[in-house]
Amino acid sequence: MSFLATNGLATASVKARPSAFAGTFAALVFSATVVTACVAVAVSAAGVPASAEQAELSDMGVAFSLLTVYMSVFVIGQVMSLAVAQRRRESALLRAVGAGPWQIRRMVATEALWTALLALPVGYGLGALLARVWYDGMAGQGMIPDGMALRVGLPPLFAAAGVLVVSSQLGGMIAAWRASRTRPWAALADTTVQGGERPGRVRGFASLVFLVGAGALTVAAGAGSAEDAASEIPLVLLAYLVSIGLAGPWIGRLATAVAAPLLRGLGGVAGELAVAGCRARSRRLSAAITPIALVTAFAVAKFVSLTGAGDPDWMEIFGTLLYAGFAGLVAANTLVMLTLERLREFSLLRTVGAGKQQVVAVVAAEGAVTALAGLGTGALAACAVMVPLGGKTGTPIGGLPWWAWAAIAVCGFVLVWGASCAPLCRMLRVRPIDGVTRRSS
Amino acid sequence: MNTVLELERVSRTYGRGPHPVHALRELDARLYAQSLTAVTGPSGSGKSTLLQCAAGLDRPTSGTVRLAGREISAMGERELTRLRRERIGFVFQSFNLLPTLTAQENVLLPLRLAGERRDPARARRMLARVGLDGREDARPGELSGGQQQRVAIARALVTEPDVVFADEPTGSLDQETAAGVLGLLREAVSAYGATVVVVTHDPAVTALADRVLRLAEGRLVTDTAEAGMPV
Repeated sequence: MSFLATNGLATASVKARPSAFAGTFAALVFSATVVTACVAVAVSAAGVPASAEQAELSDMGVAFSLLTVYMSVFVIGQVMSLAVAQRRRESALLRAVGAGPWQIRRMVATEALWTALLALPVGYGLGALLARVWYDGMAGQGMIPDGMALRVGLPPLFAAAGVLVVSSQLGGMIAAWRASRTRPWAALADTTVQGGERPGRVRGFASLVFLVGAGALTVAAGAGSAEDAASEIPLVLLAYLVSIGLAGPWIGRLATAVAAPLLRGLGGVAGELAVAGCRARSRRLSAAITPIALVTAFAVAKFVSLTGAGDPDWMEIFGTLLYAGFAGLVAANTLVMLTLERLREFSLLRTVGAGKQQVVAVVAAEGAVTALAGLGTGALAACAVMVPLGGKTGTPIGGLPWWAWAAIAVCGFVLVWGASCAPLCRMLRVRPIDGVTRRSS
Repeated sequence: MNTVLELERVSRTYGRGPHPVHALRELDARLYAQSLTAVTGPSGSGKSTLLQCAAGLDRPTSGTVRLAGREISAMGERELTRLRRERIGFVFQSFNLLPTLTAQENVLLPLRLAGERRDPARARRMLARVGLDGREDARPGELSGGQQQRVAIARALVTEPDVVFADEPTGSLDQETAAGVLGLLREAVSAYGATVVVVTHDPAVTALADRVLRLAEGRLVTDTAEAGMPV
C-alpha cells in the first residue's frame, strides 16, 4: 500500500512540472539509443570467426560501447539532479505538509524507475534503427567481415536497461538527498532564487579529488604503451569532466566575473540583468556549463586524434558523429529545461515593461556566459589530456588547425543560443499576467 | 475632475463553444485623476479581469479602454509594452520583484528597460519615500513580505505613471503590515498626486478608498461615486 501511496506522490510531482519530466525522459531515450546501437554492432562483430578485420571492428565496437555507457551514466546523473532541483518547490510543499525525507527519496526513485522503463523501448527501437544505418554504411565501405550479420537481439536491451536503471537511480539518489534536506519554508518563499544555493564543501572537495584522479590517470596512461594511452583518453577526459561538473558553480562565477564588464558595457540593461542572473544562479549555470564542456572536450580530443589517423573509416566517423550528436542533444536538452523553468521571471519582466526582444537579449547574454565557460573548460580538459598524451599517440594537439578551434567555438555558441532561445517563442506568447501568476511550466 | 481611465461597454469573454465565461459584461466606468479607487466583489466577479483590461495586460473582447486619452484596447503588443513601462505601475499580491536583483535595481528596472541611465539617487529617494532607506542593496530574499511590497510600490511609482494598478497588494500580509502598505498607497495619492486602482477583498482598503466599485458577475453593482457619496 505504501508503495502505491508513494507512486501517487510521484505522479503528482510529474504533473506539476512536465518540462522537467520531459527533459529526463529525452536524456534517457538518447542514452538508450546510443548504448543499443554501439552494443549491437560490438556484439554482432564479436560473433564472427576471427580475422584482422573482425578484431578491429570488435575492438572499436567495445570501445564505443564503453564510452557511451560512461557518458550515459554521466549525463543521466546530471539531468536527474537538475530535474529534481527544478522541483524544489513541490518537494518543499510535500515536506511542509508532512512528507518525510525518505518519502521524497522514494518518490524520486519511483519516478526515475518509471521514466527509465518508459524510455527503454523507445531508445531500444531508435538504437536498432541507428545500428542498421551504421551497419549498412560499413557494408557499403566493404568493411564487414565474411559471415557477419547485424543482430540486435537481447544483449543491447540488457545493456541499455542496466545503464538506464542504475544511473537514473544513482542520479536520483544524489539529487533526492539534496531535495529532502531543503528547509520547506525557505524553498516555498517566492523570493528565493531557484538554483542559487551555495555549493557545499563536500562538492568542492569531490571536484578536487576527481581533478587529482584525472591527473594521476594521465600520468599512468603516459607511462604505458601508445595503444593503451589512446584507449584511455576518453576515460581520463570523463574524469576531468566530472571534476568540471562538480566545480560548475565556481566556474560559472568565474566566467560571470570575466564577462561582466563586457556584458554591462555592450549589453545595456539586458547585459546587467544577465550578469545579476548568472551571479545569483550559479548552480543552474553549472548545469548548463557541464554538457557544453562535455561536447567541446570530446570534439577537440577526437579532432586531434583524427589529424594523425590518415583517412578515417566509416566506423570511426559514424561513432564520432554518434557521440558528438548524443552530447550535443543532451546539452540542448538541458538548456531547454533551464529556459523553460523561467516563465514567471520573464513574464514579470514583461509586465514591468520589458519588450520581447529585451527578454531574448537577456537569455542571449546569459548564453554567452554559458558558452564561454563551457567551451573554455571543455577545451582546457581536452588540452590537459591531449598535451601530455597526444604526442605519445602520434597526434600532438598542435596539429589541430586554427579553423578547427574556430569551428568548435562557433558550433558551441550556435548550440547554446539556439537551444536556450528555442522555448522562448512559445513562452513569450503566454500573456505576461498569466505567466506571473502561474506556478510552474 | 480629469478622467484618467475610461472603460466603455467593455466585455471580456473567455473560451468559446457552448459554455463561454463572461468575465465582464458591457461594463462602463470612468476613473478620475489623483484618487484611490477600490474595486471589490466576490471571487469570479470579474475584478481581476477589469484590472487586466484597464492596464493593457488583456484585451477586451469588445468595448474600448482609454488611458489618458489614448485608446489602449486597440494598441499592438509593442505599444502596450511601452505603455506598461512608462505610463502604468503594477503591484501584485506576490512575486513582484526579480529575486536576482537588489531592491534598488528592482526599483530602477522600468527606467532601465526604457533605456535611461542608471540613477541610484532616484532609487534611494523612492526607497526612502516608502520607508526603506538603507536597504538599497538587500535582495528580495532578505526582505520581509511587507518590505517587498514597499519595494514594489516604489517601483510602480518611480516612472510617475498615469495609473498604478494593485491586485490584492495586502492579500498576503498581516493586518499591521497591510495598514502600512495601504498608508503608502494613500499617501501616493494625497501627497504625490498619483492615481491608484486597487483590486481587493480587504475591507480596510475599501474603507480608505475615495471611491468603491463593487462588481458581481461581470457587472458593476455599486459605485459609491454615483450613489452620491463623497468622491
